Amino acid sequence: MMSLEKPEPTASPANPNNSTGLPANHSQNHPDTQSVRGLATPTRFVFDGKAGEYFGIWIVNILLTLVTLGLYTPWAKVRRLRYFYGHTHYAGERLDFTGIPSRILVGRLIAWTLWGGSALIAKQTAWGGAVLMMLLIVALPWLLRSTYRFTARNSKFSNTRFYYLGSLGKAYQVYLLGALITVASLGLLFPVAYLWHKRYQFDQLTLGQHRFQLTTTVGEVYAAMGVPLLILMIIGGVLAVVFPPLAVLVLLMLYPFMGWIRARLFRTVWSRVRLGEYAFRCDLGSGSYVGTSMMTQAGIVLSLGLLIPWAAITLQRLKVQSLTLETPPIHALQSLQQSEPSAFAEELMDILDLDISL
Amino acid sequence: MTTSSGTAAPATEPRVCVRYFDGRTSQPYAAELIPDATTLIVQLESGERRHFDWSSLTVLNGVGSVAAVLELPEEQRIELPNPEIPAWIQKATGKHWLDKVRHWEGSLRWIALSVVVISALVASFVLLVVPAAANWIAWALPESTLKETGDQVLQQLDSHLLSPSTLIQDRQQALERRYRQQLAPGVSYRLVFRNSPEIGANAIALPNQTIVVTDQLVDLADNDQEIMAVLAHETGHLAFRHSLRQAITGGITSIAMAMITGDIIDLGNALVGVVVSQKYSRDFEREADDYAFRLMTDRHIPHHYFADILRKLANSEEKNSKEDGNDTVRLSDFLQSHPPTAERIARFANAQS
Repeated sequence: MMSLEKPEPTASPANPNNSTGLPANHSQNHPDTQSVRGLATPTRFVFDGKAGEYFGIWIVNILLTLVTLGLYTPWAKVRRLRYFYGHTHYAGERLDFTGIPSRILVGRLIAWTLWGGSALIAKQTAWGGAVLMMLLIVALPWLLRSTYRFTARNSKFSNTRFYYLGSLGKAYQVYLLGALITVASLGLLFPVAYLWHKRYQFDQLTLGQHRFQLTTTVGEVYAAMGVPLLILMIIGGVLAVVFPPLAVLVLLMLYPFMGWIRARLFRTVWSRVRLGEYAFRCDLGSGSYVGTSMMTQAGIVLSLGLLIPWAAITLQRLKVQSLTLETPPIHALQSLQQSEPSAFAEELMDILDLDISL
Repeated sequence: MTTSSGTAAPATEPRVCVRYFDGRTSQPYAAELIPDATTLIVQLESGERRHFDWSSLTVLNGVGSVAAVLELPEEQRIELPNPEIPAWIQKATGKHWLDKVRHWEGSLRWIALSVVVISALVASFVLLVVPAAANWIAWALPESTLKETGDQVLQQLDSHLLSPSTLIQDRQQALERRYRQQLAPGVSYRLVFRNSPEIGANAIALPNQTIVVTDQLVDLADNDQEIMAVLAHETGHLAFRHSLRQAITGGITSIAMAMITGDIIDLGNALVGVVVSQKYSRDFEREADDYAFRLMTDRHIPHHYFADILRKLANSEEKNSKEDGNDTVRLSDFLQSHPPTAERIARFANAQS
């Protein structure tokens, strides 16, 4: 399983890989996967969004959002996502976001009305506020699952939709139980809850005839979060002993250390994702991620926010281009794997499957 | 691409070379769109033609350099070569204002206009709308909420920064009696005394109509008139519900920032929040100074007492910061919560009273 050789960065967006036409090997847990993997050389993902071009999209999005008092937000969201998806290339094909803004708007208007109405009712009654908070907490797993379904269903790669199949029961198990064990263990079990969350996201996701799978182990998540925290604590401890006033420096180091943890988690997760029998790899460097995110933050502050689009593009490029995937026959994905829902059902689902944009 | 020119429709428009997906697999096929007003005609390389009702397709508009797409029934799809949608397709599918938006997104004039309009809107929101809204909310809230919030803040302060006062009971009572008679007759404002080396000489007005006075302030003052002068200023904060308005403005600003920028909720937003709240608090300090000035005139407390105690406060702060040894970067110049002290002192010192 564990191959140590570095994946070759090969892809260029202009050059569509010809599919070999060979059907994918579907024998499960084939002991000798080497033959399949021999065909499947890794291909790197490419992101070629341009900061200058995105700036115009971003600023006009904000302008129209302000001028329409927020009614434009679904269009802004779809345009932003189509830009980012459309510039994410893999083996000559692209991602696309197919969400329809007017449906998103209807969904949001219903949600806001429900929320406003229940808040008004809650205001009239003594325990209304507390009850409303409880309801929101109880509804959160449902909201998350709805968001995953919405995002997956409206994402395409080479005209093949992603689908999210996670059950509602599992959502409650993952998120309520996850929150419970995190609180009860004073955070010590947070990595376990985090892994549940990530597995729930990946293991239920499909693309054509392939299913995603996350094989990250609990130990790896603990290592990803624990190593930076441990080092930070040791530095803090040493400083506190050697020269106490300097211990304040630990607070300043918090930001880069959080970035370091984010980079390690990203790598830990994406190095263990599989699409069917094809393995993702991720070689995101912690140093370059932390350096880039601090540089972009500084740029945002110094430019009074005008560099936000540049920051978004730069970080996205770093993350996307750290990914490789053993190349499946990308033109042999079965687009109609899922039974096509009726147009009405689909419209209703787009409205009911709110996206809360986490 | 074969240009198999068969029996074309009365085509004044050129054909459009596209990529066509049949909805069964991810394989793209080269195809051509043949201009026609009644149906959408897709001609494959094999010469086979497929017809679609114009009403059955969904347009995904081009964004930046990302091409426009026509989504067809049964997962079929046509990828146009460009972000622009050819005019004859636009005519058939209906008006597309989003193509205009795409033009704006790429036009320097519109981008510049956006920057100007957004800056103006944000500025007027921050300078006019938020303070007015916070003011309205602060006065609409019931007494009980004020009391509850204030009590909670005091509890928080007590458990972190404040310890019980070391002043003897008689002294505390005398100061409170004097405050009530001289500055707050007929109102339910009250004083609370606490010891706090961390905060130093200071007085804090809380929403529950309470002023916290530190022992350090009482020690710093040379006479009770100076303490009354500080209390006059704090009474201004109470009368205008400043602490509450400050909290509300902070809340509104951070929510608005998160909603507008959306992309990134991080360090930048936090910093903007701090700077904006400092601006509000400068305005509040000025308002409280005005109030104190009038109240002192009214109650015949000579104005110079406020100038005297301000001077001492400034000196003691300076001494503290020198002891900490961090007089290199005066971040406080940038993030001043009070108006420049010299200006305030001069105003009260030169007043004819």
